[in-house]
This record gives sequence, C-alpha cells and structure tokens, in this order.
Amino acid sequence: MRFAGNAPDMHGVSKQRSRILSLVAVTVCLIMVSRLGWLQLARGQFYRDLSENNYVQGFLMPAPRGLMLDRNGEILADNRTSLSITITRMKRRNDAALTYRLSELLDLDTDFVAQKLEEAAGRFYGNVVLINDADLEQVSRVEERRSELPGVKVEVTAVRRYPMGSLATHSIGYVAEISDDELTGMASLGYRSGNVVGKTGVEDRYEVMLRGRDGAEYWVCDALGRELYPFEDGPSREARPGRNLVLSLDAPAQIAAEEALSRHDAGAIVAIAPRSGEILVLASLPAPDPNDFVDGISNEEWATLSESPFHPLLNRAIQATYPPGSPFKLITAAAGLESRTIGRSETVTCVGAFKYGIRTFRCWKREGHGVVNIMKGVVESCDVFFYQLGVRLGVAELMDWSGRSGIGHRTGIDIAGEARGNLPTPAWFDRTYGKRKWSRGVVLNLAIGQGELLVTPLQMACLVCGIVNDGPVYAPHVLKRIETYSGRVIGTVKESVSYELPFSHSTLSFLQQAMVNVVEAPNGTGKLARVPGIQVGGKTGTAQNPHGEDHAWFVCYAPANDPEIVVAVLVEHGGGGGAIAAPIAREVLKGYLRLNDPEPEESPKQIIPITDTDVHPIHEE
Amino acid sequence: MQFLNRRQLRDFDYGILIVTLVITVIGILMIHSATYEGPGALSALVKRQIVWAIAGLFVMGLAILISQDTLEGLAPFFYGVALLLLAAVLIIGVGKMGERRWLELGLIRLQPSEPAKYAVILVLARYLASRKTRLSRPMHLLLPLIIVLVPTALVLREPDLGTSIIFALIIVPMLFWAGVRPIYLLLLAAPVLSMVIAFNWIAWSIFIALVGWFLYTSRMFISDKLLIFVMTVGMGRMSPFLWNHLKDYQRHRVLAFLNPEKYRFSTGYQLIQSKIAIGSGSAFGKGFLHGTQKNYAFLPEQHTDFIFSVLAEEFGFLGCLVVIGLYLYIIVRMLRLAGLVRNRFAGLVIVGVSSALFIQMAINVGVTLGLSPVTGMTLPLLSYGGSSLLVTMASVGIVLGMSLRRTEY
Repeated sequence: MRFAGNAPDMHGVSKQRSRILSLVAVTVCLIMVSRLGWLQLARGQFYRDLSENNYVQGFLMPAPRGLMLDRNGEILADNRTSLSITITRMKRRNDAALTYRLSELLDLDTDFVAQKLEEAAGRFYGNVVLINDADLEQVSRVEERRSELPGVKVEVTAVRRYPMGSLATHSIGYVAEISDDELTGMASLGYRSGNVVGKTGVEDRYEVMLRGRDGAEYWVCDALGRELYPFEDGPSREARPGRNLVLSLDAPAQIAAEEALSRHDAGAIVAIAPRSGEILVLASLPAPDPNDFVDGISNEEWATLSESPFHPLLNRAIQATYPPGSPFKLITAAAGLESRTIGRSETVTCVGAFKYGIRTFRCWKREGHGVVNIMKGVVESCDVFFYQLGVRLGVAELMDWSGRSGIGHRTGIDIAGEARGNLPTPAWFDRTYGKRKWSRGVVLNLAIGQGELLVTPLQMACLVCGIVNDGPVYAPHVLKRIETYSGRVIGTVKESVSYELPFSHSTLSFLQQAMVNVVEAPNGTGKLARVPGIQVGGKTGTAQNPHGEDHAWFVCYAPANDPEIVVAVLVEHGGGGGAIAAPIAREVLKGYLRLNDPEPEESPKQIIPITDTDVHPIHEE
Repeated sequence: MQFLNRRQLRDFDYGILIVTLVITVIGILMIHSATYEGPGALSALVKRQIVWAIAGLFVMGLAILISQDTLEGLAPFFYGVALLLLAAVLIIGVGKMGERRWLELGLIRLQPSEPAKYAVILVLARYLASRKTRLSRPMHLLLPLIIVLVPTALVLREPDLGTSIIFALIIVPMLFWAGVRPIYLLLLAAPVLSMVIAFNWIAWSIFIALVGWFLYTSRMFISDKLLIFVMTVGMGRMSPFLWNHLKDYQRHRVLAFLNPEKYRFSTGYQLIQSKIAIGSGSAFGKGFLHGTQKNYAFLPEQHTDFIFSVLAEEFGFLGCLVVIGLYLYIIVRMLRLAGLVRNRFAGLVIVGVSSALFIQMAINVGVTLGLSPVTGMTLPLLSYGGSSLLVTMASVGIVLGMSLRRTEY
C-alpha cells in the first residue's frame, strides 16, 4: 500500500488534466483530417488523374563547379560542355526491348545497358548516365531513333577542364567520380553515385565551396516519358553554381618554374610571398595531366602513374621529405649566435676535414677554407666550421632551436597530405635506436643538415620567409579569395602568423646579410641566382643522399631590401645546389618579376591588399 | 503476480486491447498491399510481421501480468540497460548511409532507441511519482531533464533526429501530469529557442529582453529566475561561438542533418509521391491492393515510413478517418484511464505511453501529408518493423495491466 497515489480528492485535477491532454490530441487529429480533406476531397480528382495517366518525374539540374583562377585572373580550372546520353526511369516501358535496342545501336555490352536501366528504375529523380562525353556519331544515332528510345536523352553537361594541362596540378588538384568509400561518408551531404568530387589539392580541400548546389525541377510526364507541364507542388529550386576560387598562384612564375625544372627528372619548387604567406608557385615534377582523371582513368594508366619510378602523383613540394642540406646551416648559425655559443668574430680553421673521436668528417672543399668566421662559414658553406659549432651546441640544443624554427612541424598549408618531416631530437634517437645506442657524434651531420633531419621544400621556404620577415612566418595558403559565379567577392583569406622564429633581430639581419653575400659576393656559392638590377639573397645546398646522386637545394628571396618573394628549389638527384638549383630559382624570380617580358605592360610589383576577414587558412594542428 | 479476480476482469480495458489488435491487423494488410507480389502469395515481409505480431501478443500478455510495483522497482535497471544499448549502438551499430541505429544480434536486428523510449518513461514516472520529488520550482526540473537528455543525446548521435525528438517531447505531458505549472514548461523551451534565435542579433536581444521582463514580473524564487536567465543567455551566446569553430564541412553536416529535405532529393521526391498517392485516394480509395501509385513509383520506405500513404490511396478519406479515429480512441481511452488509476506511478506511465504513441503517429502521418519536416519515423503498430511492433505492444500491455489494477494504490 502506498499513499503517494492519486488521492480521491485529486481525481478532479487528474480528470481535468486528462481532458486537456485529450483536447490537444483531438486538435492535432483535426488538423490532419482537414489536410486529408484538402488533398483527398478538394484536390482528389487532380491527384487521381496524375496517378492514373501521368506521373511526376524529378530532374536534377547539376550545378556547374566553381572556377579556379590565378592571382591575375588567368583560368586554371573551368568547365567545358559535353554531351552525354542518359536514361530516365519511366512508368511503362519494356526495359528488355530497350536494352537490346540500345546495345545494338550504340554497340554496348547488353549487361552494361541492363544494369544502367535497372539503376535508372531505382531513381525517382534525375537520370543515369549511359555514355559520358558521347561523340557526335553516337549522339546522332540516338537522335535519329528517338521515338523508339523512350526515356533516352542527349543532355548537355558541364565537365571539369584544366586549360593549362598539368600546370600546378599538385596544388589545383583534380576531380573524378566519387568512390563508394567517399559516398558512404558524403551521402548525407547530398552526393550520389556518379557525382564528381575533388580528389586532391584545392579541388579536394575546398570541395564544399566549389561544388555549388544542384537544382531540381519536377515535371508531369505522360506514359511515353514526355514532359507535359511543371508540377507546381514539388520542391523545385534553381541550381546555384559553385564558388569561384581565386588562388594566390602566379601563373607566369609557375610556368617559368615548371619549365626550368622540367630539364630534370624530378623536383619541387615553392615560392611564397613572405609578407602574407600566399603561395605564388607550387610545382612538383613530374606532374600528370589532371584532365586525364576527369572522365575516369583506365586501370593501366593508373598503374603506369602509380608505379612510375618518379611517382608523378606525389606532391614533392609538401608531401616528400629530404635532408635539408646546407640551407639548414642558417638555423645552426642562428642558434650559435642566439645562444652566444659563438661570436661574430670568432674563427675556426678549416683544413678540409675535422676529426671527431676516431672518425674524420670531411669538408666539401677538400683543400679547406682556411680561417673561417661565421659569415664566411655561411657564405662559403664551410662544413668544418659547422661541425665545430654543432659539437659546441650539442644535439639537444640544436634540435630545440630547429623545432622552434618549424622543422618537424606541418606548416598548415590548405592542401591535404602535408608531411611533417623529421626532427631528430635526443628523445627521437632514444626511441629509434634505443637509449645510449647512438653517439653524440650525430650532431656533426645534423649541424650541416644531413643525417636524420628531413624537411619538405615548403618548410624550407617558410623558414626563409621567417628570416626575411624578421621573425614571423605567415601560414602558407593557396586560396586567396572566394567569389560568387558573378564575381562578387564573398571572402578573402586573411594572413595570419603561424609561428615566430626564435631569433632576435640582430641574428636575423646577420642571416639576411649572409644570404645576400651568398649570391652577390664574388666568392658566394649562389652566384648563378643573380638577377640583373635586383639584389637577391640565397643559400645553396647539396644534400647527400645514400640512395644515389645528391639532391640540389637552393633557397632565396628578392628583392633583398624589400622581399616580395621567397623561393625554395629542390632538384632530386640533381647534384650541386649552386650549379643546378640556383639557376632554376633565378628563372622563377624572373618569371615572377616579369623580367622575361619584352615589354612589361603590367607593373611587376603585384601586391594586392588583403581586406576581408571572412576566411582563415585552416591549420592541421 | 496474482490471479485475476472478478473485479479485475471487469476493470480490464477491453477497448484498448481490441483496437490495438485491429490496428495491428490493418497494418499487416497494408504491408501485404505495399509488398504485394501477386495473388495467393505472401511476401517475406508480411510473414515476418505476422510472426512479430504473434510474439507481440505474448509479450503483451506477459506485460499485463507484471505488477506496477515490480515495474517501478525495475525502472532504473531498464534505464541503465537502455543507456548501455544506446551507447553500444554508437560503437558497433549498423545502418544505412553512415548512420548507426541497429544492433545486429544474430538473426534479429534490434533498434535500441525503441525500448529506450519506454525505459525513459518508466524511470521518469518513478521519479515524478516519488513522494520526495518536489516540482514546485523550475530548479526541480533539472534532474528529470537530465534523465531525458542523456538518452536523447545518444540517439541524436546515431544520428536519428526523429526519434530523439520523441524522447524530448514525451517529457512535456508527463511533467504536466505530475503537476508542473504549464508556464514552467514553456520556460524550459527558452534556452533552446535562444540557441536558434542567437544568429540574429536584434531578434535575440528582443527575445532576451522579453524573457528577462517575464522573469522579472513573475513570482518565482530569485535563484530560479537566475538559473533560467543564465541558461537562456548562456546557450544563446554559445551557439554562434560553437558554430564559428566548426569547419565548413561540419557545418554542412549540421545543416544537412537539420534540414535533410534540402540535401536529399530522394526525400523531396518521396513527399511528392506520398501526396499524389494520398490525394488520388479521394473519398473512398482505389480499393485494397488496387493502389497504382505504389506499383509504379515504388518507394523504398513504402512499407515503413510511408505506410499511411498506401492506406490513404487504397481506402481514401474514409479509411484514413477510421484509422486516425482508432488511434485517437486508444489515446483518449488511455488518458481517461490515467485519471482513474489510483497509483500515481501508473498514471504517469500511462500518460507517457499514450504520448509516445500519439507523438509518433502525429509526426509520421504529418510527414506523409507534407505537414511535418521530420522524416524517418514509423507509424506505431501499422508500419513494418519488428522491434517497434514488439515494444509498442508491450507498452500497451503495461497499460492494460494497470487498467486491471486501477484500484490498487
């Protein structure tokens, strides 16, 4: 027995509550009944006709994908029109007969046609593409016998096109048909099988913006599949084209870069506007033609691409890692100065080799550099000087400064798949080789950018950006501006500081001076990067590579007094940085500064102010 | 358990039992029609539904026998199991298009959100029926809200917006029944409204001012006023902040989730077909098995979410009136019973069960009529679906059991 029940005197209250709730239920039911009355009694005859003689077919109006432009408005990706032969579901149709007719007419496999017809039968809206990019012969055959092919149509569609071919393909990316895997994750966003999605680069990263929104139309059709009149009750809507993306890439510089690099088997070039982090050039060679992917690539072609020893699908600028070689000496030097491990006037004598314990470490210059101070050490890239500086700093300290300079961290570029590189700290050595299973002597190699250090070309470019900016490194990004299809600007990527180099102004201006000397001084290693009329600062590098020929490095910036562009060049197995990579960098500089144009019509300085705050480059970490 | 005596036999609500069975049989007939394969043949789905209905009868019988004290005692246990199952379905559940709704248990597939609904009703009824529970202040509603929000959030993660809405809505009539002032129930909605309105700065300022003014003039404890105000303002301030910290694809997901019709063409098309089917049924329908719309425009959810369209096409306005009337009969009959039972827990459970039944019915029929935007909900008792049928019949059984124990305290 419980007393907490509905006491007898409470019954009145309960009855009242039960009446109120019942009243709510009755009201809701009355709303439903009146709606039923409208549909079934008032409009019953209309719907009865619709259901008996005709039927409603939904049509998808695919939104054209947004364009991609370079910073000067040059088109990097657009859409071309293409004819495709499609099948629509139909109310009464002999699909078996149609299968036979279609496969005869278009010389297609019967099973394939039957499968497409079955697919169409399950689709209440839109259609199924039977032949993409149909040729005129196929189109005219279908048009001629249209009356015998109910529900088969020739449709005009927009197909992605990359007018510049393989130019900058690793940053632009490419589109292809959505895979089953992607579909499971993206179906809730309205993707359907047969849709095209961005697979890599900007196409992938900004898919949501580029895609637009498909439109829908609903038509009342007769039994033969002819559209009679629009069905008013349907949730029709206009297609909205995707957003146009203005990239920060500079096509002339990109062309110059790829042309100069194409004389070698493989390599990468990154150019950044140091004051904003805008990527001006992002090149990786060899590069595939993205147009090949759009209509689907055959298995053999795919195998050729993915098994090629030069890995054309790899974006070397951000996904591949290399030992940094001599440009890393900039960090070692700065760490030495900043920690007061070495003074500017201190000297070391280089006799071409340095003995550490029982091992002898050689300088690249067999006969030695003689008496070397830190300036000469950087400018002439004296290994022995840096061996000694490295020993004085120790692994832990050197790697600490390197980590804070961005080595081993992703830069946060707005392209997927960026590599982290490797920062071999003592902890890393402990993990990799076991505690005390490694010698402190590794610091000699690390000090000259060899050994277990690994960086991406983008990381090296960012490092130089920090040096020329007196500290701040802006987050690198490829997207510059977002516009509607009619050209209205709806967002501009704002520059944001990603990290600051841990060095003081005086240390950084020493590095700047040293880099200018590398190119402009008579004994500098980067003389081949000189550009007439403009002062250039740079650093060469020849990274030893256990797997073959050395990698050639060159990082530089220009003009030295007011840097607009930072370039990092890497030529895989290219050989000496000064001889191979520096001239390539020069071509990029000339391309960007429009020094090759016979009559420079446009002003060579292209600094477009950044205004809006709508969009920020998104960081991976 | 006890043997039924003469008075209990008299008190037993035969009306609810009979109408429940009638709706179930109509459901089987409609599923037969929706999956019709030709004369003399029964589709596998119909056969399965018949087996489930028979199993449902057994479960219903068992539920009648369980005393309300036992139910009240077991309520927290049921609730705990329900939470575990809802958590499990998020990890190992299966479903279409990346959703996780069902647990694969050998031969059968269980949708844990179905029984979870009733576990929430039981535990909430137990809490609200307790003599120690006070409900005179808004502050007192926090615990019942948490009881409901935890499973609601889990269902929302599946994601299953429709079912989670049922969870959130059941609490309103139950609190009302327990004696919470209706104005407090309205105030419960203020923080939720605030989150949505917050995207328009002016509208939000007006809204906050209104809530503030209302709280200021109302007679409540100052702590209650503060709680409601802080929650309303806080939720409103938080939502744009959270929104801005989502990545674009995540925002798209949220929008697609809140407004699936816009992002799924199939949904828009289904609604058109449903309307045509219903409208073409006219006054008296096209006759059993003679629906034309369902034959040519086969919809994947015809025997589940859109079973009402099949009914409306074949039996017309008249048939719809009868079926809606039958549901209404059960609901009103249950609500009347809730006012008659002496046990407070039993009354609350009956209100909860009838509300769950009604809300599901109203949303499902509303969708087929193009009145409600929420999709993906079945019509209880009528739609194809084993776990739903079984659990609904069990819940009716519980109510029936309470009807014959109506004089017990």
